[in-house]
Amino acid sequence: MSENSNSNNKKIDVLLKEKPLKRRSFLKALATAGAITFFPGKQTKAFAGTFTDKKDRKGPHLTWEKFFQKYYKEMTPEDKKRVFERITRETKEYYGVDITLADPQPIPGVKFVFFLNLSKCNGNRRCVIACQKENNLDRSKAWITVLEMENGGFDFEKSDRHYTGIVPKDGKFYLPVQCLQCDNPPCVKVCPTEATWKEKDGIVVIDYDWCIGCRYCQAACPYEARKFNWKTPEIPQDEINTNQNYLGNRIRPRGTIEKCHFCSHRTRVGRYPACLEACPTGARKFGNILDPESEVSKIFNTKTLFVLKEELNTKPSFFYYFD
Amino acid sequence: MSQHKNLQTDEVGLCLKFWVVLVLSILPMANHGYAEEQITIIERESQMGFWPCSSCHTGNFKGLGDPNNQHQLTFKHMENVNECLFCHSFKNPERLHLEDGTTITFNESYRLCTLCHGEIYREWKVGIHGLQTGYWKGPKTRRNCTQCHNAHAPKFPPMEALPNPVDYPNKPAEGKH
Repeated sequence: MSENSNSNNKKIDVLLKEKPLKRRSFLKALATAGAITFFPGKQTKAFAGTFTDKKDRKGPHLTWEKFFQKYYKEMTPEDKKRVFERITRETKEYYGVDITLADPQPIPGVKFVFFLNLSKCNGNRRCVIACQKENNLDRSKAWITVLEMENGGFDFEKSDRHYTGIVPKDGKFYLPVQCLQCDNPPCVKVCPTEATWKEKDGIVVIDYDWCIGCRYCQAACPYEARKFNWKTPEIPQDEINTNQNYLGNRIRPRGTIEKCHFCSHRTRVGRYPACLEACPTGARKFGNILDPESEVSKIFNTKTLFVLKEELNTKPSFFYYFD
Repeated sequence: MSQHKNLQTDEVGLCLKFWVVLVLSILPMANHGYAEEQITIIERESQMGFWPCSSCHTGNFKGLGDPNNQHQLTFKHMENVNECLFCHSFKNPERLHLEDGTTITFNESYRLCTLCHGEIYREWKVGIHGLQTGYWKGPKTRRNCTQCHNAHAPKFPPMEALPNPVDYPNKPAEGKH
């Protein structure tokens, strides 16, 4: 019994002796860590270097300016100027490219629609690659998905999006799907921060700096149009499109959602979208449906049009037809 | 009498007002249309492989025989047509000729195509058929028929699909969901 108590006392002594040692070492470690984080000196140069090295960085730094940035709709022209300067500066720092950033506004009296002739489309994916380059997408992503469908039905279960080789194949037709710019958009309704909304010309846009990356909209979209940035986009420096707009094709930060915006940086100054100009078959038609002289109005009056998943009442601005 | 005169002047004034309002409201509508837009059609002659034709074909070129022997081309346009001079002018090898004998350049070949393909020509004319580039609200560039369709084998050729960027290397085997 006494032996036991002796041994216990010894153990306690040892513990008591060790305790101050432990605390001292802990404090020492804390001080070193603090020194490394707050006063990076000569010894920590290699450590600090990993953060400034472009290749290892996970995108532009989160700054005070960026964190307290206003909502796009509440920005004054001065605010916009400051924000555009910041984004231009960060793109220069991270990607090494001088960009011209703008935010062209919707033209009054214009409602954009897109028509796609499925009899003409042969699934060659020129539009997919043109879109990727025009909109500064990561080189492993695409906003347009071309589905290879079986003739005689619209069963998406039987569709193939990974087809290769010579097209068109026998017994197949090709259905390109991108954002349909719905007039009753489910993605806009679910956004908890109102970072996405519908503009007057029919384009559904995203404020990438207001998006928190919750991906509710991706789940709500019945067309799989929205894509998520799991990482900072990796783009070859010489392929970056320098004509960028704030709500459209500027390089998206990591952790935000993105989608087709009808090339708003081109269409709002009167040009055709990039996918249309890349299509060698001329299957894509774009224009202002409110103008009775435009080619889209003529298609609207002469062809039998349909939309995807009409039963969901999303009212898309993107129509398909056969002729 | 004076009352009557007043009435008349009032009527004239009303008429004038009506016409002024009408003209003013119609004028901007007239300017709004796409009538004044420039449409450029891409020239064909500068892109042709054997241009100018007269470097080989001198004089009239009757009796050349089977078109499949010329320029190593495969002729798959119409059944039972086996004659170059159906479209090509026999007077001038650098021209095409219409049914009434009018000769046209290769840049206007759509005028020849429309003789059979009138419906497609009507669509092409308003911009529904074929690729148009440029501005939906402004100058457009349009392709000639023969820019996209080979006149001797007009069916749109099959082409190699570009790879899908989101393709993953290990595609799941077919039939296994």
